[in-house]
Amino acid sequence: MTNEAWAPYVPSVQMPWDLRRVVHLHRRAGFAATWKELQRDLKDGPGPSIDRLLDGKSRTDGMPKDFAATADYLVSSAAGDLGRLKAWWVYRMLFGSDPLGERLTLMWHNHFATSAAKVGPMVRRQNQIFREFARAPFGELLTRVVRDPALLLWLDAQANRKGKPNENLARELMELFTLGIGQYGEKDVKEAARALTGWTVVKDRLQEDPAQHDGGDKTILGRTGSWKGDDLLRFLLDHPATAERLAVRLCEWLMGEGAVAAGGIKALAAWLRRRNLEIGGAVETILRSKAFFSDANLGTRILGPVEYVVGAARALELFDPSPNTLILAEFCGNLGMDLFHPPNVGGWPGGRSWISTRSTIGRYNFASALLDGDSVGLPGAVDALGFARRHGRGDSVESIVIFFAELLLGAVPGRAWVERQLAALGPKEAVEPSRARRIAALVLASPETQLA
Amino acid sequence: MSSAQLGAVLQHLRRMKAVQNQSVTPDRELLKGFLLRRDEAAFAELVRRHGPMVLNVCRGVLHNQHDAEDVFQATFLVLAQKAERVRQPDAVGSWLSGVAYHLALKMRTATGRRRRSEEQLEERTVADPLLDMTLRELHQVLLEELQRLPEKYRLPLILCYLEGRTQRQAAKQLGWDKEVLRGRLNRGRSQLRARLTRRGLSLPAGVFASALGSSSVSLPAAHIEAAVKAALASAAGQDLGKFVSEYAAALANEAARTLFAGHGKIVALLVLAVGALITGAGLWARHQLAAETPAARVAQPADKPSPPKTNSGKPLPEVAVEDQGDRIEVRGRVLDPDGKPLAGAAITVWWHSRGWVCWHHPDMHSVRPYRGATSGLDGRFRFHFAKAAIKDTYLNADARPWHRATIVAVAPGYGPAWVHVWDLGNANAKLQLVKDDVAIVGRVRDLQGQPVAGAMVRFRRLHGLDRDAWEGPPAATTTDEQGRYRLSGVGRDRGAVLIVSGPRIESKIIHVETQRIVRGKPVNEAAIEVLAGPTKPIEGTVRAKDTGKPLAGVSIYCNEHSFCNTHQVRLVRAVTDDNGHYRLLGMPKSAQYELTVYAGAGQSYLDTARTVADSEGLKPIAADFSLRRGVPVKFRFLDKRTGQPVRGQIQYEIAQDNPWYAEAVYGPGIIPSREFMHIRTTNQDGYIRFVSYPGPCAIFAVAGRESRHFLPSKLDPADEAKGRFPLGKDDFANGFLRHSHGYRYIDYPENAREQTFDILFDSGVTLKGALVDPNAKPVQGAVAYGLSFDRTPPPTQPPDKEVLPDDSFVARGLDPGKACTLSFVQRERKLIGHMVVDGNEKQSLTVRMRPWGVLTGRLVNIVGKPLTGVSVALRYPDLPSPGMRPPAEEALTDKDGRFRIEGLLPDFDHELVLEHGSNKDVTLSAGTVLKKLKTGAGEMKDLGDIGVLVVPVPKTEKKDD
Repeated sequence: MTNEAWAPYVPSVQMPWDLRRVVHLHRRAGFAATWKELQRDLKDGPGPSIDRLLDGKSRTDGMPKDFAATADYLVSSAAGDLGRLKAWWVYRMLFGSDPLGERLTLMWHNHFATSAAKVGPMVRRQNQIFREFARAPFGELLTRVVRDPALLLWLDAQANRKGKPNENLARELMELFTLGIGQYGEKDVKEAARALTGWTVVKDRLQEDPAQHDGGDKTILGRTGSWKGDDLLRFLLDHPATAERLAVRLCEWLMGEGAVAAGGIKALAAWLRRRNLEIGGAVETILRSKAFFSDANLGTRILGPVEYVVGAARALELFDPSPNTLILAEFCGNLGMDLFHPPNVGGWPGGRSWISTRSTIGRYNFASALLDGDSVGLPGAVDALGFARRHGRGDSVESIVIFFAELLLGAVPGRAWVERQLAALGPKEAVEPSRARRIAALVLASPETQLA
Repeated sequence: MSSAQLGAVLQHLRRMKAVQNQSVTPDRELLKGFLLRRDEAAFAELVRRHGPMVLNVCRGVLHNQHDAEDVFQATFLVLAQKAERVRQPDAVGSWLSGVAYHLALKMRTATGRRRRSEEQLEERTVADPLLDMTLRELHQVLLEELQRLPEKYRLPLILCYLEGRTQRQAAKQLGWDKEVLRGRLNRGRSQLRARLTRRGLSLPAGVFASALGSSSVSLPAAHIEAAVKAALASAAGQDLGKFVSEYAAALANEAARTLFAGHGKIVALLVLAVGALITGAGLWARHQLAAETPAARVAQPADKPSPPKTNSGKPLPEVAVEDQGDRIEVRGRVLDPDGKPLAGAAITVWWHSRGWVCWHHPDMHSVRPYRGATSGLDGRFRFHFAKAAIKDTYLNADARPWHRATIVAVAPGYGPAWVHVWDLGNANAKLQLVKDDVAIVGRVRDLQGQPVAGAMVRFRRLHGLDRDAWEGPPAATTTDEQGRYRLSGVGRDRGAVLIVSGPRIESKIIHVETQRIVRGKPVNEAAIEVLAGPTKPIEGTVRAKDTGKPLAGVSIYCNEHSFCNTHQVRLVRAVTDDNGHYRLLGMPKSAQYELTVYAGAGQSYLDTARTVADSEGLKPIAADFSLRRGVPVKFRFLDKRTGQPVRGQIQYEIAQDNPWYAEAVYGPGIIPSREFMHIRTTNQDGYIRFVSYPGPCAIFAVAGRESRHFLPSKLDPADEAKGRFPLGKDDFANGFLRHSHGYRYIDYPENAREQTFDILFDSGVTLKGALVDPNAKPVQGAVAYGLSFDRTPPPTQPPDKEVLPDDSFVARGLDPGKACTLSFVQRERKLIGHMVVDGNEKQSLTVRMRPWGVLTGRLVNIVGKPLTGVSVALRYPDLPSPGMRPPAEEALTDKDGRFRIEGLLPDFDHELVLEHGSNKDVTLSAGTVLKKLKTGAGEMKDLGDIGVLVVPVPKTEKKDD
């Protein structure tokens, strides 16, 4: 990477490797981390910490020994029950060894937004493709996702036949999955749809029906020939705009809305083009960059509902017993991100749209419910005081406030912030379990915690 | 609008479309598109629109998911092949529901005992075992009765309840005025309810709706795709194997051939065809379906040990239940797994009447099996029951609650054995225990994969045998710290149903088979893993509305408000404590929960129901209730002529103009009144008691099944003079009148004390008579039809058949002034006779039976070539109800086209009907040649060669109504 924007991060006096940056790394690239994991990374420095995330080895706490077998059992038992499928995914995010992989899976779910409202439990296989090819060269992912029945049926591919083309799939392929708006014309869409004619789904598999394929010449993005669906995918992957769109997507997901200037995007896009659109490498570039750890990039991205909900459970080490994953998924839905049900083919708008009066109250309610325990399926209230004391804090109300701020934010946002929390807690000084719970809920629900 | 704006709007619209791609093209147009152009999209839209309903119907009849899917595919294949036969192109759903129902029954018969138990479909969650036991049967009865309704009533019911259309949408689709639709919907509902009542079926509104199901079941896209591809391939004559299973294709082909061979009388065909398919005869025109089913059925396949014999060498029945006047004897023997007599087995008997369960009845849960005896050294047992002491297990109104006896043998170290004996007969099967060498083991885990310790795992029943039918093992167990459980006592090669419950998990029903040999190797464990979601608690207090005091002993049921299908219906129960408090546990998370509240026995309070919405997380939902005080009523049924009490049941209806109607009517179910939730039957003391609403109501009384010779109710002129019919003029509950034997209009003020009265049944006139032959000699051994049949049956139900012990007969329940046909057949002597009576006859009757006539002939086509394999059926002349009811004669033409039909009534006009030919793609017509056919007594008339016009049915023929 030659561009200054993606120069690697090297700890310095101005940009030290401190708890704040460790928390930042985990909340951006995963779903928060436990106190022990944070302390480990603080000690080991950025290199090993980022390596572990990239390799899917960042977690040490709350990992069931039989995670893979249990996850398989949960997904196979879910069958067509979408509630159970959501619970399974939350289980993976909460207990799996690869939080970055799950974050990227979530990103692709948003990129190729396909709703179970139309295609039902087919989203399960699509989700597994997202996970398996999350870091792969984008071409591999695109080819598999586009040839998977969930997306084909979602975008009515089966209605796209010779002489009666249906443009849904072709249009979204260009506009949303690869090039982005403004990079193609209406005629390209029509011709691309012709190239895709004959793609249909039989017995849950793509089948190319030669009888329904329009074999005539098409001109797509300036190239003329009797193109087929795979030719179209090739053209789209070759097009420079695709790399740029991917660069935007990755930056939005890991850096936040508009966080990266045009130059940075172009540099990342150029890198992607040179490296066969390899997503894993681009992610690594971002995570290792100075830009990623710059002061200006800390605490600026609004957490999505899933990151918020799963992250809270992980940071508080609610593993055994853990909150019910079905209920966590329900909270994610109530906060605006109903897994497997994106609002439309454009996905969730994200960013500032996550925050509204309703969702702010919703996040507070979730924080209270999580700490109270019963309502999320825990056998009782969370022992927040014991938790703080296990990590050497909890002598005073203030020390508990500071502990949760460090755990969730990496640093206390300022003395005034502490005072505000103390004021909200009332004049009583005694350190009691219920008070510690209240503190944890307050910090979880505070505006600063909604940012990462 | 600028082009940019326009683009944005179009973009938006496209996206909306992707979310919900709903078309409003009428069925008619879609069907036309498919018929004329083989339009794939049109067919796909039909599948998408009606597929959920079809899948729901299939699942209602079939246990097995694969079978249900096969039938689903076969149904749409039939549509593809016979689209031109849809008589109401605006209501394809109705047509499809009939085909799906029929095919599902056929599939069920074909698959027989084949079980694929541990499949996803079967992991249902039901905490009320009785619901589990009957829900599927209930669904089937509903579907069956629905198919029997006249089309004009069936169509709106299917659209509004099975397919989930609004009344407005349904009216539009059918091209009816909205008021017409509403009226027909109401009348259809009323008829359906009446039919169900007549079958002794009574259900809570919510359960009813769930049982019938609606279309919100999700239809996998792959199903749609496969159905469409198969349809197109079928239409093009291509191989279907790529798209649907071989079985689905075969099923569809056979159905297309047999179902549509006649003249498009789909409904009649469906109803009748069911019987033929079950008996496997391949011909449907036997009207004796119900009457001729075997008296005893087999619970297990018989195996080798030779049966004991009497002195005369005739085999003794393995188990027999014998009527000995005022007592019943049960005897038999118990065998061990090797077929040797087993001593020391405990025998119990469970009695069932015909009819349906009222699982909400407080007594229901207290019914235990009757302890019999222990088998002796020779494995034999014998014991007696006083008839008077037998309490009907199902609390039905039956005067003879021993319609079915289930005899169960259990012994330590063995799995139980059982046989069912129908109507005091013999069992063909052996009471042979099985080895208890396969234990059920498993693990209960939550959605986080963590073990659920302390969950209760109860054995609920075996496939074919409810747990209530015997006492003893297997017992319940609880899971250990690792969530593991182990249950033995079921025995090998049994299908078992377990209920898993716990304070923090949803209650689940688990099906497991204890197969001894798996993949060729013996095993001693049947493992079944259980994954349990969390439970959403519901709690509250029930109080009396008038006093505000808490009510103890009130039952609260919760039924997940699931319109999807029966597999997702769940029901849990709680009872209020002394403080009126209850807490329901076991419900899974759901969008909403339907609660029904039943006042305790002896409380003068009315039941109520409410739907509550879900709340976030697992925090308990609070739902308090106040019960309104009602008016206790106590009454009995009396035979008007003899003054003798009669057992029976009632249908209680609240007048639409009753001020409390809105409060009493609950739920979106097909049955509007929650009063229908109860089946109210005669108690042991001969009375029926319940708590009525104040204000105008009606009680429609139906005699028990054993005494249906009473006349249908007639409206009292005094009521009519006051403008009661018996309820308000347009009240659709009035429809129950003609399906009941007596009624009473009641209108009590609030807070009235207990009301006592009688409802009188009129047993009508009884006539006696004798049968003689042409020489005035007595005729013995004849079969009589119409002597005592239920005067208020559904039209498709055959009249009771009676084998006369000698030459005399007794006809009961005749309505003076109303003509009725009594018919008789003596097959050995080939005699037939009938008499039309009107109940005013003063003298003993003499029916002169005469030798029946015979018709022969030969069917040829227009070039004189014989038509073979054509079904020729006899139609008797029209006579007053129930008409000439011996089974219609029917024959197939032989290789020369010849047929022979016996059993003609001498000197009356008959008709021969060519029902279907061997060629499925033709219709047959002989003009008027086969009408008005008459023979003399004993005459055999040869009709000679009959020219039959064979008309091919063009595939694209279109019949618009």
